[in-house]
Amino acid sequence: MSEPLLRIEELTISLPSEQGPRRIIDRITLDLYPGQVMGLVGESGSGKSMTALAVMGLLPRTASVEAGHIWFEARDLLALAERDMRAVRGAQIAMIFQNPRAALNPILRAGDQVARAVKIHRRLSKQAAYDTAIELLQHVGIPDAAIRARAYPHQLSGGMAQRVLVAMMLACQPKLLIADEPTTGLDVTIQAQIFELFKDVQTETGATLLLITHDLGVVSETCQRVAVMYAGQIMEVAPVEGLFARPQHPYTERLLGSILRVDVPSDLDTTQALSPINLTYDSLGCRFTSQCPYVRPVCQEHRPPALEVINDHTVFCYKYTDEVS
Amino acid sequence: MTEPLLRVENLHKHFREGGSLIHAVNGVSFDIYPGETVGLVGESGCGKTTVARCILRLERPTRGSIYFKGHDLTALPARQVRPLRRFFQMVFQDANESLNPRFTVRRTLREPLTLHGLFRNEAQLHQAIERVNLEPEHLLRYPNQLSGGQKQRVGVARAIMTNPQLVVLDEPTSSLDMSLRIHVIALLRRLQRELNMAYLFISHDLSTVRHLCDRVLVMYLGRIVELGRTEDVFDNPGHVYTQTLLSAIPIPDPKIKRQRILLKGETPTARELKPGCSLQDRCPYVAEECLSPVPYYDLGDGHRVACRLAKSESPGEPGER
Repeated sequence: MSEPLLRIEELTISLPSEQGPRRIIDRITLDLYPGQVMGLVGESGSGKSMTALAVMGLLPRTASVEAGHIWFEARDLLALAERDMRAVRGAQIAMIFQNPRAALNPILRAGDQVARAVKIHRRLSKQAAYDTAIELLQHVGIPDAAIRARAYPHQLSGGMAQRVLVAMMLACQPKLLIADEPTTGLDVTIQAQIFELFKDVQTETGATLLLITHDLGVVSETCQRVAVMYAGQIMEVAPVEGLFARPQHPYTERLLGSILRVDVPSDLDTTQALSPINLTYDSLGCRFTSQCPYVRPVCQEHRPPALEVINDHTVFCYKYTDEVS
Repeated sequence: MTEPLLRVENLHKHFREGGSLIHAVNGVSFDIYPGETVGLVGESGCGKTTVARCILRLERPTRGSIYFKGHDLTALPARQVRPLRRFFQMVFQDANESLNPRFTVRRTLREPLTLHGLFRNEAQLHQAIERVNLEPEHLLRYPNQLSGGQKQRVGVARAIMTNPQLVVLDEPTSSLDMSLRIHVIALLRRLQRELNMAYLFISHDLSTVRHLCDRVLVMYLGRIVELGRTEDVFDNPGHVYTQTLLSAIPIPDPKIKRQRILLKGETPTARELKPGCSLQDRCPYVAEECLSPVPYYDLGDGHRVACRLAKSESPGEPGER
């Protein structure tokens, strides 16, 4: 396999709390290979958005990186000065946020915003940049692009605003694109359109995509590989088919079992339903122990090592090790 | 057959916006029977919340009637609606916004009892809080001392205080995580069994609807385009719009490869009311006859579809729309 484009290595991030620093990201390691679509899936409080912010160098001020590296093209992003990071952000790594209308500048017309992005990254005259912006807006499926380009963000629907952001992203041609719940709040038919657009853009530009979502359906239909996060830890990393066919981690198993599917009727089984993530939890061991049917004493104290159970399918769980303690 | 608890007849609601008219609801009719759960589904702007607001008389319909236990709510003066209100309650989408931040849970739950002269003793409050799987100690808390899931359960508890016969639930699960969603659905089902209430469940979340509702109404641009028993609508959707909605939901199983129907563009604003099918501008199967009013084709067991493509499946004559 080729070198990873992005490698998160043993990253630990903490936030202050009344009981002292709390590790909200706990020793996570993740590789993203060029051209791949990687899903990062988890419930609220799993740390998936914080992971993305760390890669973007946009962590909240109160957060501190305790340990670890984020390697991107042989450089550790965590060691970069803000000035150097600014050259990476947008141009090489771009992020698309949950609420597209909030991500746009409310007092700039859509076309002008895309044109600015074009101008920052290409040496073009004002007019040429604007013309390129219109072309990009057309390209991402905005009808009557020249007219819509004159709209302010509040005049755009959520779906249209998301398309504008994709157009801005295309202007920068980043190598890595991070999309954090890009369709939350959009209607399902619009969500389907946006994911089609993502797929097209990804195939066309060959960009690597890290898709953050809580929706396993989206993972199944959009991603090639997936990492499952829970309470700040990565539990399992696998190719999508493998994860759904042979989930290895007890958490993944429960997560897959608790989905309400629209295509099959079922009796609700609340005994299998998960409790929400306890945000005060800060154990040194595995953080799923309180709900895990296979828990052993060792799980409470030590973080399970990475274990490649099947080819390219890694799980962090003592269930698969023989050592007894 | 039993009498319906709620009967909505040819409901229209138009809003004036600037110089133009928004046709939010255009001739919606349906019944809800005692003890059943009816899902009202559709995307933003389809008019589903406006229908609910008309039922609760938070909005005056432009035309049409709403009968609750035989009384026409649209014709009664407010004074006469008030005593009926204890029988129809609502749970709102955003528990944060719908609980008074300056009221303790106890006061929030007591309020409806006091208003309707039903308060007898503290035991009523204890019983309600335990019904929704919270502890009596939660009665002393303020909304900001509760988690999102707990707030939503207080909203449910408030709605059931007066022993209503109909509860309108407006997207009660949309702000919740997957795992919490299952607990809320299980709670709603149990309460329904215990208290024999009917639910009108308004949602765009079709997975939740499938697991909670007995019947479903699918709305698009102010009209019901399809209705029927949940399993009939989900397993054999007749309207192109319903098919599109269902095909748009990603299935968490990589082995399943589906053909997705993609509609052209976005839902238009309901400024101009077209005589034919509401979907005519976006439907990939649009034909000449879709431009004039489409009748409901009856597919059996109350499964009715306002789409020409359902014609061949229908055994009888088309019904009125």
